Amino acid sequence: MTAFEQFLSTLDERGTFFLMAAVFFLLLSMSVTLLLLVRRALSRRDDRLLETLKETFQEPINTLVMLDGELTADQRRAQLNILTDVTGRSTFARQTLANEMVSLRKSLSGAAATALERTFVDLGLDVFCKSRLHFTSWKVKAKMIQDLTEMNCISREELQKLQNHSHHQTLKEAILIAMIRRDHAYALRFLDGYEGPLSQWMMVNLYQQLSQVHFSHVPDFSKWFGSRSEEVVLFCVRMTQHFRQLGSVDAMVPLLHHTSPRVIAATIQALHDLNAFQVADKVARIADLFYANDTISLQVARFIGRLSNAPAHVRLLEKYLVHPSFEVRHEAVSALMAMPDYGRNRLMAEQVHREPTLYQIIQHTSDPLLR
Amino acid sequence: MIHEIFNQAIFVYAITICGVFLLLLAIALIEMNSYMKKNFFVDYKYILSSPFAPSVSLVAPAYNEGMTIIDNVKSLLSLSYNNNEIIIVNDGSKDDTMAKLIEAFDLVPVPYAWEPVLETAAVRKIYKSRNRAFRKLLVVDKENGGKADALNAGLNLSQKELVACIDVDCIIESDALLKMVKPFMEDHTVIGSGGVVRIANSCVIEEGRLVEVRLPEKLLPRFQVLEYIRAFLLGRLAWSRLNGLLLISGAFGMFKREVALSAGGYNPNTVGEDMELVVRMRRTMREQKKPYRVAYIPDPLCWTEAPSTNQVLGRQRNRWTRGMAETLWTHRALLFNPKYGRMGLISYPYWLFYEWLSPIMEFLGLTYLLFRALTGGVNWDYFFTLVLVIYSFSFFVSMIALLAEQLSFYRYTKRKDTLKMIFLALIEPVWYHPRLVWWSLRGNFDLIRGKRHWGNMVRQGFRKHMEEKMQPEGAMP
Amino acid sequence: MKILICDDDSALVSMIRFKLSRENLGEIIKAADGREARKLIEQERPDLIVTDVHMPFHTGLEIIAYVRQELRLQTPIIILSAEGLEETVLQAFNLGANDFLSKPFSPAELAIRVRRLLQKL
Repeated sequence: MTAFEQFLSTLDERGTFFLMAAVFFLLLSMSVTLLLLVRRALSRRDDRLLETLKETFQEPINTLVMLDGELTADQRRAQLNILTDVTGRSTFARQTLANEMVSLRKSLSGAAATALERTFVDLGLDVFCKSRLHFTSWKVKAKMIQDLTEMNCISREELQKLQNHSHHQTLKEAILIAMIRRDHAYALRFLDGYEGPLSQWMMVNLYQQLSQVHFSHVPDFSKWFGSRSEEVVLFCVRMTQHFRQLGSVDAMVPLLHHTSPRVIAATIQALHDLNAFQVADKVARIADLFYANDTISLQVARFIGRLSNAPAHVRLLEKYLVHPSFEVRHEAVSALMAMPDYGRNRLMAEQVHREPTLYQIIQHTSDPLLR
Repeated sequence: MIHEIFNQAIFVYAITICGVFLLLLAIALIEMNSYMKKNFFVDYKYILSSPFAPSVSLVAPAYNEGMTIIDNVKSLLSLSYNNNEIIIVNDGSKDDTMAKLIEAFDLVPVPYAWEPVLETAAVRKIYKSRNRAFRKLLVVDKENGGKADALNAGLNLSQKELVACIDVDCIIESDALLKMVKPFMEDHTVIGSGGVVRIANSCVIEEGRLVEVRLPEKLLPRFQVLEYIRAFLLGRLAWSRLNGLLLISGAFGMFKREVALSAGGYNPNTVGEDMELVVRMRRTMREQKKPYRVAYIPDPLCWTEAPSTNQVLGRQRNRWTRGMAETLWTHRALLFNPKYGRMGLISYPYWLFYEWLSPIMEFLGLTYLLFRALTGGVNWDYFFTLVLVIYSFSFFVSMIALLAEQLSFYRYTKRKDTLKMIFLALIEPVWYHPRLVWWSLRGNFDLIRGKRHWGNMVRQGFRKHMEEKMQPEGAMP
Repeated sequence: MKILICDDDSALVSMIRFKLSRENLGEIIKAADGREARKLIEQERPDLIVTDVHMPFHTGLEIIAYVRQELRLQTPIIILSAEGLEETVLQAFNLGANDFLSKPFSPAELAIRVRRLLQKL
């Protein structure tokens, strides 16, 4: 009997269990360690390779893109060959080249962008990216969709097909965002019966894609003002504001009576940014109704503040000087300060006694560094 | 008989703690995987150029930071974000912090109006820079009131939707704000998001920016690298998946200003103000019956200088233990209270039983063993196997953490670093862990004795080369 | 003529450099971050600066302030940035930028703007 066997025989049930668990974890740890070392070596190799590849690609890409019109067919082919010689070697090289070109494409417009897209196709990278669309991992799919869209290499129909076959929420969103770029009029139809949430993050992405479209082609967002989803309405109000769709002002006015205070606040903000001061009275009329709502009051004060000093509006702003919300008071002071017939002197003479914080706010607003 | 019960209790505790850790580990890996996938193709620059990006105030309290304040503020000013302001709160520094700021940034006092929603020590003056390139900067000079008090002053002054609270001596990665705001944009019920903190010792830092990541040269900070990777990557990530995160590190966290204010801001009467605020915010939301979520970003976004001597580290851990215990005590009503949902039924009990209690249990177990050894009643074979299980298990957890780090962010790129980390994981259970247990016991002991405040360590929490150098390298207390 | 280009996207810098050299606009020097840019401005005194806004160490806006207020130079500065938010544009011009281009941009257009500013010197 060896010492170990003897040791084993003295263990009770619990001891044996412990021993087995320990051996199990040790074996597991060892395999994890091995995996760690292997992965480390691989990443290190990839990093080195990446640097060399980027350097190799730079000059030919520059030549192909910047001298697009000047190169002869032979010269062009020679440059392309330099690249394909390298990319022929590995998927990693192809992916790196595609990444480099896509990232450049995001910064370029005009002839350089077109030349870059053409080069991308000539190098067969569009085919490469499309072949990776059948990857099982949705993150790769989403990335490829993004890249192909950026390089103008995927049609709406193809995206549509992908949309139908994908189930992952984030992937679906990525496809939708890509579709906006390709055919926004079609893609935005998703808003029609949409009731789901539309996060700020989606808004950022949709806006980003839409801002790549020429402003005259951006659709009229007012057609979704009647949507049942609060978030869709909010989105459309914001888009109307940022794309400066002045024609939608009239359609926006009824939203001042929307059931959601968030929509009302956003509407006033949009009307302000669109300089729709002809509807000032309508805005002023809802002010009393929503006096208790800080956000709406703040927006009303901002809106009214931009107008000339009609007595009714001045009275409203004076009411806001004693509003419970500090921000509203602040806004009202700024507004009154900016009025030619009102200004600092009258505020100091007539109003400052009404609310102890007003003096500070007036001082704040007068300081050039704080404006 | 009594021995049997004791044996049994320790056995059950050990088994459940391993089980819970394994479960958390699995959840963390799932969450890590989905986070990496989700952000694989995200272009954060879209947030930078978007008019829809939420506005952010960065609040950084500074106490006697004259050595590094200028570089740190400059690096905060060059963070990639548009709609933000940087609020530096000088918490009554006794050194030249304020003078240096005034000179470097051409500051002048301004009549800044704000609403003192939260009570704080008196604010002396508020400054802005005359240089328009620094228009995001706001400097507050106030009487000393401690870190929580300074943060509250920042919360008062902020006029933005989100407030990021950081330690001014931390090195923040330039895309940190872009990454931190994303969860708020994805889900409007998010009330806070926490970031990972990493150890900056021996890293190359120039003008307040991280230029090269290196493993600390000293052993003690090196252990903390491993400890932080494990805790942040695995511990907190799992809890964020379960929406049960109770702690957002005070070194770097972001909150909805409105919610933080309505919860009452930071509590200046605890040394664990970072954890206490999160618990209170969650509690407030729950009591108001509003849906909420606390998110967590596993990217390493914040780097901090870790204590490199036993003495300073001991004090830090002592304080952490007191902070945790105080928070748990303040919010004891949560324990197993179904009214507070998951927080009451899962997170809180976890913190109580496995974070706060585990060093105590460990200590009790060892004491008991010693007692049995002296009275000759120890089954050494049994003891040996038990220790082996615990050892192999903790090594396994560390290795998984290292692997997760390798597969995700891969910040320690040298081969030597990887080998060193593996070696650390092997010796940690005997070399480093016992110290943690001891400090945590001391923390509990001090708390019972009534040491409630930061003591002589006001705002010296993390870092400080200089001060550490002045302190003798103490042996384990 | 010496032109300084600062941007942390090295592929893009390389492309701009290619284009501007090709147009014989002068010698091109490049900086990958704000700190390097400041150093080069001080040492090399470029005749024109093309800079991004968001860069490590110092923002493009700080670079303008540095050139105009600290060095008191009238070197033409073109801002080339991914974000064309109104506030940033206004702030850049207020600080003394001569031109502002938003990405995506056309390198040909940049070359013409550079040439025009250089001719004024």
